[in-house]
Amino acid sequence: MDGKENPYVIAQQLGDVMTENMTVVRYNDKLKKTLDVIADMKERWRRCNPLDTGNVSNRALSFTNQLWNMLALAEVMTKGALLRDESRGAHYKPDFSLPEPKTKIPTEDPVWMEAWRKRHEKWAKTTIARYTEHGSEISYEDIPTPVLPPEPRYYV
Amino acid sequence: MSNGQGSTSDRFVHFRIWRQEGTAEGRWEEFKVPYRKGANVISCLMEIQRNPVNAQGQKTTPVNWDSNCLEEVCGSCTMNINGKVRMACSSLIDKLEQPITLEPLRKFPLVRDLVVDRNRMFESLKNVKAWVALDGTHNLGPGPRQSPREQATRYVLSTCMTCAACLEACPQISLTNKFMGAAIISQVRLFNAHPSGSFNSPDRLHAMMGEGGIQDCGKAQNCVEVCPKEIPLTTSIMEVNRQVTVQMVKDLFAKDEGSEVKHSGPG
Repeated sequence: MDGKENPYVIAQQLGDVMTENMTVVRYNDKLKKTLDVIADMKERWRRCNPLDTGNVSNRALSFTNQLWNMLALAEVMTKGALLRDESRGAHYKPDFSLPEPKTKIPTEDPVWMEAWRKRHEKWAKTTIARYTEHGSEISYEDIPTPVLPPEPRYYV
Repeated sequence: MSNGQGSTSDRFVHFRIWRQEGTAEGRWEEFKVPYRKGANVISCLMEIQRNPVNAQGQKTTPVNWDSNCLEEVCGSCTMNINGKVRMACSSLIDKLEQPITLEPLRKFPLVRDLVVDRNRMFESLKNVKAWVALDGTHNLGPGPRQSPREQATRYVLSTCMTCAACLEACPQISLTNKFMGAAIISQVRLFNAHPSGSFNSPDRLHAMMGEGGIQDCGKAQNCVEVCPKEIPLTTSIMEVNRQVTVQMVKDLFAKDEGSEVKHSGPG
């Protein structure tokens, strides 16, 4: 009950570090640092001061409860992003982009198609995270594509 | 302490905030909050959460308040700021005289600090059937067309966010009476003006004739002055008054019992 941490402060700092490192453009060294920060924040969470011990409309209590879930989700997001060494959708890793195709229409460059195929085979999967108190366990699930085989998306 | 773009903590904003739990005794508490460019009342309340220490240096509980959108469109953060009812999210510190007093809405049952129970308004909306009764599993096809003129009139009425500012400002509204208030009367006008909504017009107007209805309006015109959405509330009250009179004359000849209508006001 004598904790020195304030959950609202931790939440603000969590917002800052995630905005800094975990938006669209992601770099592995920054993601690793972010995971360390989140782990540290989980420790700080255990030392949170209750702030309010009232029985009526105790907002600080429910916020502190929700903060743990925010930290858990932040860890899942960051870990998944760290492991995914490619670019896809709103997840862009400049260090792991496919090279530019040599032809205007990418499907006409066999070297590029091979690179695309390899990446597709490895990464066209859904990231699954299983909760444990010490962090998430990541696994992958295939994406069912029964109607059409996936193709590279390009805009000419 | 990380502060985003960094706060200039040599300037402080002086607050006087009402602290109270339910019906227990309340008191004023003063805070000095570090000033930040563009600060509003909500951002300062968040600052207090991060450092719940009052101006006397004593540790205290974070202030309880309601907020959501932070852009004056949800109606959650209504409170009395420097004696005037307004939305906290759009109350910029630069435009307020200090010490800034924060008080909860006085016409609503207090939950804690700046949080009040607003069920009164939702019960009133139910009482006047403030919706278009079209529920069902069958496909009704496209709705009836309305002229752009009618749409323009109705659009403003539809921006009501049930914020309770008009009820708070209205001298005819008290904690214990049943008057439904300007917002509700305006919603009656809105749904009566809808081609399909008008089917339930007699029900709404009978509710307006009942307890807590339009006869309680004292024409103070505080409502339209405080409405954050600038809804023409007094015009709505005038229009609904006309509709109620027409309905009363119709009732003289053939009373439309319509669907089950509760003739009592809120609570």
